[in-house]
Amino acid sequence: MDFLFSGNLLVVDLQKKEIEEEVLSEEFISRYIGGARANIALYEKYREEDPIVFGSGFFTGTPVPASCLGVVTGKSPRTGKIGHSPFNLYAGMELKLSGFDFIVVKGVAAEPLYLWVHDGLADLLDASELWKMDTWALTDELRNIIGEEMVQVLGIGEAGMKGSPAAQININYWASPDQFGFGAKMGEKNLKALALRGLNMLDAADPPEFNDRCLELHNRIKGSKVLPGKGFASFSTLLGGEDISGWLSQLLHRHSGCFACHMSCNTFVKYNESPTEMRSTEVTEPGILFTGLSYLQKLKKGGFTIEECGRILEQVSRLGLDPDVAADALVGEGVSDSKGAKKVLQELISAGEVKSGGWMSEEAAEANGQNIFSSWPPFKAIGEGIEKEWMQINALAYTCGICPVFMLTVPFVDAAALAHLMEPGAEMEMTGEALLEITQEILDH
Amino acid sequence: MPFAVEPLKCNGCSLCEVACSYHRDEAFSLLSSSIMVYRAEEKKNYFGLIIKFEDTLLLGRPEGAEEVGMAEMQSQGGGASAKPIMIREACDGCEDLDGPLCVAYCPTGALSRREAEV
Repeated sequence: MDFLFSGNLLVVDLQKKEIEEEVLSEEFISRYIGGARANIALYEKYREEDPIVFGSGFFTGTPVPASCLGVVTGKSPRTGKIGHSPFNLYAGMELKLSGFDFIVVKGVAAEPLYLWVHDGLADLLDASELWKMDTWALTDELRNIIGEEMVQVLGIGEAGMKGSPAAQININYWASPDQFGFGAKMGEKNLKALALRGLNMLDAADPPEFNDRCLELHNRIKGSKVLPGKGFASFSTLLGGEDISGWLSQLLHRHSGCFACHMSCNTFVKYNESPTEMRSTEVTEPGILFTGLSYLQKLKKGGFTIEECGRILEQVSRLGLDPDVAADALVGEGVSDSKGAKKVLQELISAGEVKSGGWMSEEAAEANGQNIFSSWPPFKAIGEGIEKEWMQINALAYTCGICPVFMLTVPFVDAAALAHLMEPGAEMEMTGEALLEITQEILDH
Repeated sequence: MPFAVEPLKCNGCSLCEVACSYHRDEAFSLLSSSIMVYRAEEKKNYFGLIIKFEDTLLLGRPEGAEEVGMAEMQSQGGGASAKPIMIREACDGCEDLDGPLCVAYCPTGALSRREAEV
Protein backbone atom coordinates (compact mmCIF):
# COMPACT_ATOMS: atom_id res chain seq x y z
CA MET A 1 0.00 0.00 0.00
CA ASP A 2 1.67 3.20 -1.19
CA PHE A 3 -0.49 5.90 0.37
CA LEU A 4 -1.50 6.90 3.91
CA PHE A 5 -0.06 3.65 5.23
CA SER A 6 3.47 2.47 5.79
CA GLY A 7 2.39 -0.73 4.05
CA ASN A 8 3.81 -3.15 6.59
CA LEU A 9 2.38 -5.64 9.06
CA LEU A 10 4.21 -7.19 11.98
CA VAL A 11 3.41 -10.70 13.18
CA VAL A 12 4.93 -11.28 16.59
CA ASP A 13 5.17 -14.87 17.84
CA LEU A 14 5.82 -14.60 21.55
CA GLN A 15 6.26 -18.32 22.06
CA LYS A 16 8.99 -18.60 19.42
CA LYS A 17 10.23 -15.10 20.19
CA GLU A 18 10.16 -14.38 16.47
CA ILE A 19 8.97 -11.38 14.47
CA GLU A 20 7.90 -11.56 10.85
CA GLU A 21 7.24 -8.62 8.58
CA GLU A 22 4.64 -8.78 5.86
CA VAL A 23 3.82 -6.29 3.15
CA LEU A 24 0.23 -5.05 3.21
CA SER A 25 -1.37 -5.39 -0.18
CA GLU A 26 -3.51 -2.67 -1.74
CA GLU A 27 -6.25 -5.29 -1.97
CA PHE A 28 -6.20 -5.75 1.80
CA ILE A 29 -6.68 -2.02 2.43
CA SER A 30 -9.23 -1.66 -0.38
CA ARG A 31 -11.22 -4.49 1.10
CA TYR A 32 -10.89 -3.76 4.82
CA ILE A 33 -9.94 -0.03 4.91
CA GLY A 34 -8.09 -0.20 8.24
CA GLY A 35 -8.59 -0.02 12.00
CA ALA A 36 -11.18 -2.32 13.54
CA ARG A 37 -12.35 -3.82 10.23
CA ALA A 38 -8.82 -4.74 9.19
CA ASN A 39 -8.08 -5.94 12.73
CA ILE A 40 -10.96 -8.43 12.48
CA ALA A 41 -9.54 -9.84 9.26
CA LEU A 42 -6.15 -10.28 10.89
CA TYR A 43 -7.70 -11.70 14.05
CA GLU A 44 -9.55 -14.32 12.02
CA LYS A 45 -6.38 -15.26 10.15
CA TYR A 46 -4.57 -16.04 13.41
CA ARG A 47 -7.61 -16.94 15.52
CA GLU A 48 -6.22 -20.34 16.61
CA GLU A 49 -3.31 -18.62 18.32
CA ASP A 50 -5.50 -16.26 20.41
CA PRO A 51 -4.03 -13.09 18.90
CA ILE A 52 -4.34 -9.55 20.06
CA VAL A 53 -4.18 -7.11 17.16
CA PHE A 54 -3.02 -3.50 17.34
CA GLY A 55 -4.09 -1.57 14.25
CA SER A 56 -4.11 1.95 12.90
CA GLY A 57 -7.02 3.45 11.03
CA PHE A 58 -7.11 4.56 7.42
CA PHE A 59 -6.51 8.23 8.32
CA THR A 60 -4.62 7.78 11.61
CA GLY A 61 -1.60 10.07 11.75
CA THR A 62 -2.72 12.33 8.90
CA PRO A 63 -4.07 15.91 9.01
CA VAL A 64 -7.65 14.65 8.90
CA PRO A 65 -9.45 16.07 11.96
CA ALA A 66 -9.22 13.90 15.09
CA SER A 67 -7.20 11.22 13.32
CA CYS A 68 -5.72 10.00 16.60
CA LEU A 69 -7.15 6.52 16.86
CA GLY A 70 -5.45 3.17 17.00
CA VAL A 71 -7.53 0.09 17.83
CA VAL A 72 -6.87 -3.04 19.87
CA THR A 73 -8.90 -6.08 18.83
CA GLY A 74 -9.00 -9.44 20.52
CA LYS A 75 -11.02 -11.86 22.60
CA SER A 76 -11.93 -9.94 25.71
CA PRO A 77 -10.96 -11.50 29.05
CA ARG A 78 -13.96 -9.65 30.48
CA THR A 79 -16.72 -10.58 28.05
CA GLY A 80 -15.28 -13.69 26.40
CA LYS A 81 -16.18 -12.12 23.06
CA ILE A 82 -14.38 -10.12 20.40
CA GLY A 83 -14.01 -6.50 21.39
CA HIS A 84 -12.42 -3.37 19.99
CA SER A 85 -10.83 -0.75 22.18
CA PRO A 86 -9.27 2.48 20.95
CA PHE A 87 -5.92 3.89 21.96
CA ASN A 88 -5.70 7.61 21.51
CA LEU A 89 -3.60 10.55 22.78
CA TYR A 90 -0.46 10.17 20.61
CA ALA A 91 -0.24 6.38 20.65
CA GLY A 92 -2.34 5.70 17.53
CA MET A 93 -0.37 8.23 15.55
CA GLU A 94 2.97 6.84 16.76
CA LEU A 95 1.97 3.33 15.67
CA LYS A 96 1.05 4.56 12.19
CA LEU A 97 4.32 6.45 11.85
CA SER A 98 6.40 3.62 13.33
CA GLY A 99 6.70 1.91 9.96
CA PHE A 100 4.08 -0.72 10.79
CA ASP A 101 0.36 -0.19 10.37
CA PHE A 102 -0.76 -3.34 12.17
CA ILE A 103 0.80 -5.61 14.78
CA VAL A 104 -0.50 -9.11 15.41
CA VAL A 105 0.73 -10.55 18.71
CA LYS A 106 0.18 -14.28 19.10
CA GLY A 107 1.21 -17.00 21.52
CA VAL A 108 2.54 -16.78 25.04
CA ALA A 109 6.08 -15.78 25.93
CA ALA A 110 8.12 -18.02 28.20
CA GLU A 111 9.39 -15.00 30.11
CA PRO A 112 8.28 -11.36 30.31
CA LEU A 113 8.96 -9.37 27.16
CA TYR A 114 8.24 -5.97 25.69
CA LEU A 115 7.99 -5.00 22.05
CA TRP A 116 9.87 -1.91 20.86
CA VAL A 117 8.63 -0.69 17.48
CA HIS A 118 10.14 2.31 15.73
CA ASP A 119 11.31 3.60 12.37
CA GLY A 120 10.54 0.36 10.53
CA LEU A 121 12.28 -1.78 13.14
CA ALA A 122 10.86 -4.08 15.81
CA ASP A 123 12.53 -5.88 18.68
CA LEU A 124 11.26 -8.24 21.35
CA LEU A 125 13.20 -7.48 24.49
CA ASP A 126 13.53 -8.83 28.00
CA ALA A 127 11.05 -7.27 30.44
CA SER A 128 11.91 -9.28 33.54
CA GLU A 129 13.21 -6.15 35.28
CA LEU A 130 10.08 -4.23 34.26
CA TRP A 131 7.48 -6.88 35.00
CA LYS A 132 6.50 -5.82 38.51
CA MET A 133 6.65 -2.11 37.82
CA ASP A 134 3.54 0.01 37.98
CA THR A 135 2.60 1.79 34.76
CA TRP A 136 4.16 5.09 35.82
CA ALA A 137 7.52 3.53 36.66
CA LEU A 138 7.26 1.41 33.51
CA THR A 139 6.77 4.44 31.27
CA ASP A 140 9.62 6.31 32.94
CA GLU A 141 11.94 3.33 32.72
CA LEU A 142 11.18 2.47 29.10
CA ARG A 143 11.72 6.09 28.07
CA ASN A 144 14.96 6.06 30.05
CA ILE A 145 16.16 2.80 28.46
CA ILE A 146 15.25 3.95 24.97
CA GLY A 147 16.52 7.49 25.57
CA GLU A 148 13.48 9.23 24.13
CA GLU A 149 10.83 10.98 26.20
CA MET A 150 8.17 10.90 23.52
CA VAL A 151 7.98 7.12 23.15
CA GLN A 152 4.38 6.02 23.63
CA VAL A 153 3.90 3.08 25.98
CA LEU A 154 0.93 0.72 25.85
CA GLY A 155 1.65 -1.06 29.09
CA ILE A 156 0.16 -3.01 31.95
CA GLY A 157 0.43 -2.79 35.71
CA GLU A 158 -0.24 -5.20 38.55
CA ALA A 159 -3.83 -5.80 37.44
CA GLY A 160 -2.77 -7.03 34.01
CA MET A 161 0.14 -8.97 35.42
CA LYS A 162 -2.28 -10.88 37.69
CA GLY A 163 -4.80 -11.47 34.91
CA SER A 164 -7.61 -9.39 36.40
CA PRO A 165 -10.52 -8.81 34.01
CA ALA A 166 -10.61 -5.31 35.48
CA ALA A 167 -7.16 -4.67 34.02
CA GLN A 168 -6.64 -2.32 31.13
CA ILE A 169 -3.86 -1.37 28.77
CA ASN A 170 -2.69 2.06 29.86
CA ILE A 171 -1.43 4.73 27.50
CA ASN A 172 1.77 5.88 29.16
CA TYR A 173 0.76 6.97 32.67
CA TRP A 174 -2.90 7.45 31.96
CA ALA A 175 -6.12 5.50 31.79
CA SER A 176 -7.13 4.37 28.32
CA PRO A 177 -10.56 3.61 26.85
CA ASP A 178 -9.89 -0.15 27.24
CA GLN A 179 -12.98 -1.65 28.85
CA PHE A 180 -12.41 -5.21 27.67
CA GLY A 181 -9.68 -6.24 30.07
CA PHE A 182 -7.04 -6.33 27.35
CA GLY A 183 -4.50 -5.58 30.05
CA ALA A 184 -5.15 -9.10 31.32
CA LYS A 185 -4.71 -10.45 27.80
CA MET A 186 -1.26 -8.89 27.63
CA GLY A 187 -0.53 -10.25 31.10
CA GLU A 188 -1.55 -13.77 30.00
CA LYS A 189 0.87 -13.45 27.13
CA ASN A 190 3.73 -12.24 29.36
CA LEU A 191 3.84 -9.06 27.30
CA LYS A 192 4.50 -6.09 29.56
CA ALA A 193 4.36 -3.33 26.99
CA LEU A 194 4.50 -2.06 23.46
CA ALA A 195 6.79 0.93 23.07
CA LEU A 196 6.03 2.95 19.95
CA ARG A 197 7.83 5.80 18.25
CA GLY A 198 7.19 6.94 14.72
CA LEU A 199 9.38 9.09 12.57
CA ASN A 200 8.25 7.67 9.25
CA MET A 201 6.41 9.62 6.56
CA LEU A 202 2.97 9.06 5.09
CA ASP A 203 2.45 9.91 1.43
CA ALA A 204 -0.83 10.95 -0.14
CA ALA A 205 -1.80 10.08 -3.71
CA ASP A 206 -2.53 13.70 -4.55
CA PRO A 207 -0.90 15.72 -1.76
CA PRO A 208 -2.16 19.22 -2.69
CA GLU A 209 -5.73 18.05 -3.15
CA PHE A 210 -5.67 15.95 0.03
CA ASN A 211 -4.20 18.86 1.97
CA ASP A 212 -6.79 21.27 0.56
CA ARG A 213 -9.68 19.00 1.46
CA CYS A 214 -8.34 18.44 4.98
CA LEU A 215 -7.88 22.17 5.50
CA GLU A 216 -11.36 22.84 4.16
CA LEU A 217 -12.76 20.46 6.76
CA HIS A 218 -10.74 22.06 9.55
CA ASN A 219 -11.92 25.52 8.54
CA ARG A 220 -15.52 24.36 8.48
CA ILE A 221 -15.11 22.94 11.99
CA LYS A 222 -13.53 26.17 13.24
CA GLY A 223 -16.37 28.17 11.76
CA SER A 224 -19.17 25.90 12.90
CA LYS A 225 -19.01 26.54 16.64
CA VAL A 226 -20.34 23.03 17.27
CA LEU A 227 -17.60 22.07 19.66
CA PRO A 228 -18.26 21.97 23.40
CA GLY A 229 -16.07 23.78 25.89
CA LYS A 230 -12.79 22.39 27.09
CA GLY A 231 -12.44 19.19 29.07
CA PHE A 232 -14.60 16.09 29.32
CA ALA A 233 -16.72 17.92 31.89
CA SER A 234 -18.14 20.07 29.11
CA PHE A 235 -19.70 16.96 27.57
CA SER A 236 -21.56 16.33 30.77
CA THR A 237 -23.64 19.48 30.49
CA LEU A 238 -23.84 19.19 26.71
CA LEU A 239 -25.63 15.89 27.20
CA GLY A 240 -27.79 17.04 30.04
CA GLY A 241 -25.69 15.43 32.77
CA GLU A 242 -24.47 16.89 36.03
CA ASP A 243 -22.17 19.88 35.71
CA ILE A 244 -18.92 18.83 37.39
CA SER A 245 -16.84 21.69 36.03
CA GLY A 246 -16.92 23.66 39.30
CA TRP A 247 -15.78 20.60 41.26
CA LEU A 248 -12.95 19.98 38.76
CA SER A 249 -11.89 23.61 38.57
CA GLN A 250 -10.62 23.56 42.16
CA LEU A 251 -7.52 21.69 41.01
CA LEU A 252 -7.67 22.24 37.25
CA HIS A 253 -4.30 22.81 35.64
CA ARG A 254 -4.79 22.65 31.87
CA HIS A 255 -6.71 20.84 29.15
CA SER A 256 -5.17 19.08 26.18
CA GLY A 257 -6.27 17.30 23.04
CA CYS A 258 -5.31 14.09 21.32
CA PHE A 259 -3.41 14.11 18.05
CA ALA A 260 -4.98 16.26 15.30
CA CYS A 261 -8.03 17.13 17.37
CA HIS A 262 -9.77 20.45 17.87
CA MET A 263 -11.34 19.32 21.13
CA SER A 264 -9.32 19.58 24.32
CA CYS A 265 -11.09 16.77 26.15
CA ASN A 266 -8.30 15.67 28.46
CA THR A 267 -8.12 17.39 31.81
CA PHE A 268 -5.07 17.60 34.04
CA VAL A 269 -5.47 18.30 37.75
CA LYS A 270 -2.65 19.04 40.16
CA TYR A 271 -2.75 18.01 43.80
CA ASN A 272 0.95 17.90 44.65
CA GLU A 273 1.58 21.53 43.76
CA SER A 274 -0.49 24.59 42.99
CA PRO A 275 -2.76 23.91 40.01
CA THR A 276 -2.00 27.41 38.74
CA GLU A 277 1.72 26.63 38.52
CA MET A 278 2.49 26.66 34.80
CA ARG A 279 6.24 26.32 35.05
CA SER A 280 8.12 23.02 35.10
CA THR A 281 9.14 22.74 38.74
CA GLU A 282 11.03 20.18 40.79
CA VAL A 283 7.76 18.40 41.56
CA THR A 284 8.05 15.48 39.17
CA GLU A 285 4.56 14.05 39.71
CA PRO A 286 2.23 17.00 40.28
CA GLY A 287 -1.04 15.32 39.39
CA ILE A 288 -2.97 13.24 36.89
CA LEU A 289 -4.55 13.49 33.44
CA PHE A 290 -8.24 12.57 33.36
CA THR A 291 -9.07 10.99 30.01
CA GLY A 292 -12.70 10.09 30.68
CA LEU A 293 -15.80 11.34 32.38
CA SER A 294 -18.07 8.75 33.94
CA TYR A 295 -15.66 7.60 36.64
CA LEU A 296 -15.31 11.22 37.72
CA GLN A 297 -19.07 11.55 37.94
CA LYS A 298 -19.30 8.33 39.96
CA LEU A 299 -16.60 9.37 42.42
CA LYS A 300 -18.06 12.85 42.84
CA LYS A 301 -21.46 11.32 43.50
CA GLY A 302 -19.77 8.99 46.00
CA GLY A 303 -18.71 12.03 48.01
CA PHE A 304 -15.03 12.22 47.10
CA THR A 305 -13.30 15.57 46.91
CA ILE A 306 -11.51 16.34 43.68
CA GLU A 307 -8.18 15.89 45.48
CA GLU A 308 -9.15 12.45 46.80
CA CYS A 309 -10.42 11.59 43.37
CA GLY A 310 -7.10 12.54 41.78
CA ARG A 311 -5.05 10.61 44.31
CA ILE A 312 -7.24 7.51 44.01
CA LEU A 313 -7.20 7.57 40.23
CA GLU A 314 -3.43 7.85 40.34
CA GLN A 315 -3.41 4.55 42.28
CA VAL A 316 -5.84 3.09 39.75
CA SER A 317 -3.65 4.15 36.83
CA ARG A 318 -0.48 2.87 38.41
CA LEU A 319 -2.13 -0.53 38.95
CA GLY A 320 -3.39 -0.56 35.35
CA LEU A 321 -7.04 -0.85 36.37
CA ASP A 322 -10.10 0.27 34.43
CA PRO A 323 -11.09 3.46 36.31
CA ASP A 324 -14.78 2.94 35.65
CA VAL A 325 -14.74 -0.48 37.27
CA ALA A 326 -12.61 0.88 40.10
CA ALA A 327 -15.03 3.76 40.70
CA ASP A 328 -17.96 1.31 40.90
CA ALA A 329 -16.08 -0.80 43.44
CA LEU A 330 -14.95 2.14 45.56
CA VAL A 331 -18.37 3.75 45.71
CA GLY A 332 -20.04 0.36 46.21
CA GLU A 333 -17.81 -0.42 49.19
CA GLY A 334 -18.40 2.98 50.71
CA VAL A 335 -14.74 3.96 50.66
CA SER A 336 -14.32 7.53 51.78
CA ASP A 337 -10.68 8.37 51.15
CA SER A 338 -7.58 7.40 49.22
CA LYS A 339 -6.14 5.34 52.10
CA GLY A 340 -9.21 3.13 52.23
CA ALA A 341 -9.09 2.76 48.48
CA LYS A 342 -5.94 0.65 48.47
CA LYS A 343 -7.61 -2.39 50.04
CA VAL A 344 -10.62 -2.23 47.72
CA LEU A 345 -8.44 -1.92 44.63
CA GLN A 346 -6.38 -4.95 45.67
CA GLU A 347 -9.60 -6.94 46.19
CA LEU A 348 -10.73 -5.84 42.75
CA ILE A 349 -7.52 -7.15 41.20
CA SER A 350 -8.07 -10.50 42.91
CA ALA A 351 -11.71 -10.77 41.85
CA GLY A 352 -12.37 -13.29 39.11
CA GLU A 353 -15.04 -11.31 37.33
CA VAL A 354 -16.12 -7.75 36.77
CA LYS A 355 -19.70 -6.56 36.94
CA SER A 356 -19.27 -3.18 35.29
CA GLY A 357 -19.69 -3.62 31.56
CA GLY A 358 -20.29 -1.71 28.38
CA TRP A 359 -22.40 1.33 27.79
CA MET A 360 -25.53 -0.46 26.62
CA SER A 361 -28.02 -2.16 28.84
CA GLU A 362 -28.53 -5.88 28.24
CA GLU A 363 -31.87 -5.11 26.59
CA ALA A 364 -30.35 -2.53 24.26
CA ALA A 365 -27.49 -4.87 23.41
CA GLU A 366 -30.01 -7.59 22.56
CA ALA A 367 -31.82 -5.24 20.21
CA ASN A 368 -28.88 -3.45 18.67
CA GLY A 369 -25.93 -5.79 18.77
CA GLN A 370 -23.31 -6.62 21.33
CA ASN A 371 -21.09 -4.29 23.28
CA ILE A 372 -18.17 -4.72 20.92
CA PHE A 373 -16.75 -1.21 21.33
CA SER A 374 -15.35 0.40 24.43
CA SER A 375 -17.83 2.77 25.96
CA TRP A 376 -15.60 5.70 25.33
CA PRO A 377 -15.78 8.14 26.75
CA PRO A 378 -17.33 5.88 29.34
CA PHE A 379 -20.52 7.78 29.66
CA LYS A 380 -23.83 6.05 29.18
CA ALA A 381 -25.75 9.16 28.20
CA ILE A 382 -23.85 9.42 24.93
CA GLY A 383 -25.20 6.11 23.76
CA GLU A 384 -28.58 5.97 25.43
CA GLY A 385 -31.43 6.33 23.00
CA ILE A 386 -29.21 6.39 19.93
CA GLU A 387 -27.69 2.91 20.28
CA LYS A 388 -27.87 2.00 16.61
CA GLU A 389 -26.48 5.31 15.35
CA TRP A 390 -23.74 5.34 17.98
CA MET A 391 -22.69 1.80 17.02
CA GLN A 392 -22.46 2.86 13.37
CA ILE A 393 -20.43 5.93 14.26
CA ASN A 394 -18.11 3.78 16.33
CA ALA A 395 -17.67 1.25 13.52
CA LEU A 396 -16.85 4.00 11.05
CA ALA A 397 -14.59 5.89 13.45
CA TYR A 398 -12.70 2.79 14.60
CA THR A 399 -12.07 1.85 10.97
CA CYS A 400 -11.00 5.25 9.72
CA GLY A 401 -8.95 6.10 12.82
CA ILE A 402 -11.05 9.09 13.87
CA CYS A 403 -12.22 9.79 17.40
CA PRO A 404 -15.88 8.66 17.60
CA VAL A 405 -16.76 11.32 20.16
CA PHE A 406 -15.48 13.95 17.76
CA MET A 407 -17.59 12.45 14.97
CA LEU A 408 -20.66 12.52 17.18
CA THR A 409 -20.00 16.12 18.14
CA VAL A 410 -19.19 17.30 14.61
CA PRO A 411 -21.86 15.53 12.54
CA PHE A 412 -20.62 16.75 9.17
CA VAL A 413 -17.45 14.70 9.63
CA ASP A 414 -19.39 11.68 8.46
CA ALA A 415 -18.97 8.74 6.09
CA ALA A 416 -19.44 10.93 3.01
CA ALA A 417 -16.87 13.47 4.20
CA LEU A 418 -14.34 10.73 4.96
CA ALA A 419 -14.98 8.95 1.66
CA HIS A 420 -14.38 12.27 -0.10
CA LEU A 421 -10.84 12.28 1.35
CA MET A 422 -9.98 8.75 0.24
CA GLU A 423 -9.46 9.47 -3.46
CA PRO A 424 -6.80 12.18 -3.08
CA GLY A 425 -5.51 10.41 0.01
CA ALA A 426 -4.98 6.95 -1.39
CA GLU A 427 -6.42 6.71 -4.91
CA MET A 428 -9.46 4.95 -3.50
CA GLU A 429 -12.77 5.76 -5.09
CA MET A 430 -15.30 5.50 -2.33
CA THR A 431 -18.75 6.71 -1.45
CA GLY A 432 -20.16 7.24 2.00
CA GLU A 433 -22.64 4.42 1.43
CA ALA A 434 -19.93 1.98 0.34
CA LEU A 435 -17.81 2.93 3.34
CA LEU A 436 -20.72 2.33 5.70
CA GLU A 437 -21.34 -1.08 4.12
CA ILE A 438 -17.77 -2.09 4.89
CA THR A 439 -17.86 -0.80 8.46
CA GLN A 440 -21.25 -2.45 9.01
CA GLU A 441 -19.38 -5.76 8.69
CA ILE A 442 -17.85 -5.06 12.09
CA LEU A 443 -21.32 -4.95 13.61
CA ASP A 444 -22.39 -8.05 11.74
CA HIS A 445 -19.29 -10.06 12.65
CA MET B 1 8.52 36.27 12.83
CA PRO B 2 5.58 35.66 10.53
CA PHE B 3 3.20 34.74 13.33
CA ALA B 4 2.41 35.20 16.99
CA VAL B 5 2.39 32.42 19.56
CA GLU B 6 0.15 32.07 22.61
CA PRO B 7 1.45 28.88 24.25
CA LEU B 8 -1.35 28.49 26.79
CA LYS B 9 -3.86 28.23 23.97
CA CYS B 10 -1.99 25.24 22.53
CA ASN B 11 -3.74 21.91 23.15
CA GLY B 12 -0.80 19.84 21.91
CA CYS B 13 -2.59 18.40 18.87
CA SER B 14 0.49 18.54 16.62
CA LEU B 15 -1.47 19.61 13.54
CA CYS B 16 1.08 22.41 13.12
CA GLU B 17 3.85 19.82 12.85
CA VAL B 18 1.97 17.79 10.27
CA ALA B 19 1.14 20.92 8.28
CA CYS B 20 4.76 22.03 8.27
CA SER B 21 5.98 18.61 7.19
CA TYR B 22 3.56 18.78 4.28
CA HIS B 23 4.96 22.20 3.35
CA ARG B 24 8.48 20.72 3.43
CA ASP B 25 8.02 17.34 1.81
CA GLU B 26 4.46 17.05 0.49
CA ALA B 27 4.12 14.17 2.93
CA PHE B 28 2.99 13.82 6.53
CA SER B 29 5.33 13.17 9.43
CA LEU B 30 6.62 14.76 12.61
CA LEU B 31 10.24 14.70 11.53
CA SER B 32 10.85 17.47 9.07
CA SER B 33 8.79 20.36 10.39
CA SER B 34 10.28 23.62 11.65
CA ILE B 35 7.76 23.65 14.46
CA MET B 36 7.22 21.02 17.11
CA VAL B 37 5.05 20.49 20.11
CA TYR B 38 7.28 20.14 23.14
CA ARG B 39 5.80 17.20 25.02
CA ALA B 40 8.79 15.69 26.73
CA GLU B 41 7.50 16.41 30.25
CA GLU B 42 4.20 14.61 29.92
CA LYS B 43 3.90 13.63 33.57
CA LYS B 44 3.98 17.32 34.51
CA ASN B 45 1.49 18.26 31.79
CA TYR B 46 4.13 20.76 30.67
CA PHE B 47 3.82 21.32 26.96
CA GLY B 48 4.24 24.08 24.45
CA LEU B 49 5.71 24.92 21.06
CA ILE B 50 9.22 25.28 19.67
CA ILE B 51 9.82 26.96 16.33
CA LYS B 52 13.13 27.06 14.54
CA PHE B 53 14.13 30.22 12.71
CA GLU B 54 17.47 30.92 11.00
CA ASP B 55 19.41 31.94 14.08
CA THR B 56 16.95 31.59 16.88
CA LEU B 57 14.45 29.27 18.48
CA LEU B 58 11.09 30.54 19.61
CA LEU B 59 10.25 28.74 22.84
CA GLY B 60 6.54 28.82 23.45
CA ARG B 61 6.57 27.74 27.08
CA PRO B 62 3.38 27.68 29.15
CA GLU B 63 4.76 30.50 31.28
CA GLY B 64 5.41 32.64 28.22
CA ALA B 65 7.05 32.80 24.80
CA GLU B 66 10.61 33.94 24.26
CA GLU B 67 13.09 33.89 21.43
CA VAL B 68 16.54 32.57 22.29
CA GLY B 69 19.72 32.31 20.28
CA MET B 70 20.75 28.89 19.06
CA ALA B 71 24.05 29.10 20.95
CA GLU B 72 22.27 30.01 24.17
CA MET B 73 19.91 27.09 23.75
CA GLN B 74 22.78 24.68 23.25
CA SER B 75 24.57 26.01 26.29
CA GLN B 76 21.42 25.33 28.32
CA GLY B 77 21.41 21.75 27.13
CA GLY B 78 18.08 22.11 25.37
CA GLY B 79 16.69 18.77 26.42
CA ALA B 80 16.43 15.63 24.33
CA SER B 81 13.43 16.89 22.42
CA ALA B 82 15.04 20.21 21.51
CA LYS B 83 17.98 18.55 19.78
CA PRO B 84 16.18 17.29 16.70
CA ILE B 85 14.67 20.66 15.83
CA MET B 86 18.08 22.30 15.78
CA ILE B 87 19.11 20.27 12.77
CA ARG B 88 15.88 20.92 10.87
CA GLU B 89 15.26 23.60 8.26
CA ALA B 90 14.32 27.02 9.54
CA CYS B 91 10.77 28.34 9.24
CA ASP B 92 10.31 30.27 5.99
CA GLY B 93 6.82 31.49 6.90
CA CYS B 94 5.44 29.47 3.98
CA GLU B 95 6.51 32.24 1.61
CA ASP B 96 4.92 30.53 -1.35
CA LEU B 97 1.49 30.42 0.29
CA ASP B 98 -1.02 33.00 1.51
CA GLY B 99 0.29 32.55 5.02
CA PRO B 100 1.88 29.99 7.30
CA LEU B 101 0.19 26.60 6.92
CA CYS B 102 0.65 25.83 10.63
CA VAL B 103 -1.44 28.90 11.44
CA ALA B 104 -4.12 27.79 9.00
CA TYR B 105 -4.35 24.38 10.65
CA CYS B 106 -4.05 25.45 14.30
CA PRO B 107 -7.48 24.74 15.83
CA THR B 108 -7.06 26.74 19.03
CA GLY B 109 -5.57 30.08 18.01
CA ALA B 110 -2.25 29.30 19.71
CA LEU B 111 -0.67 30.32 16.40
CA SER B 112 -1.93 33.40 14.61
CA ARG B 113 -0.69 35.71 11.90
CA ARG B 114 0.86 38.95 13.08
CA GLU B 115 -1.30 41.99 12.36
CA ALA B 116 1.31 43.50 10.06
CA GLU B 117 1.33 40.33 7.99
CA VAL B 118 -2.43 40.01 7.61
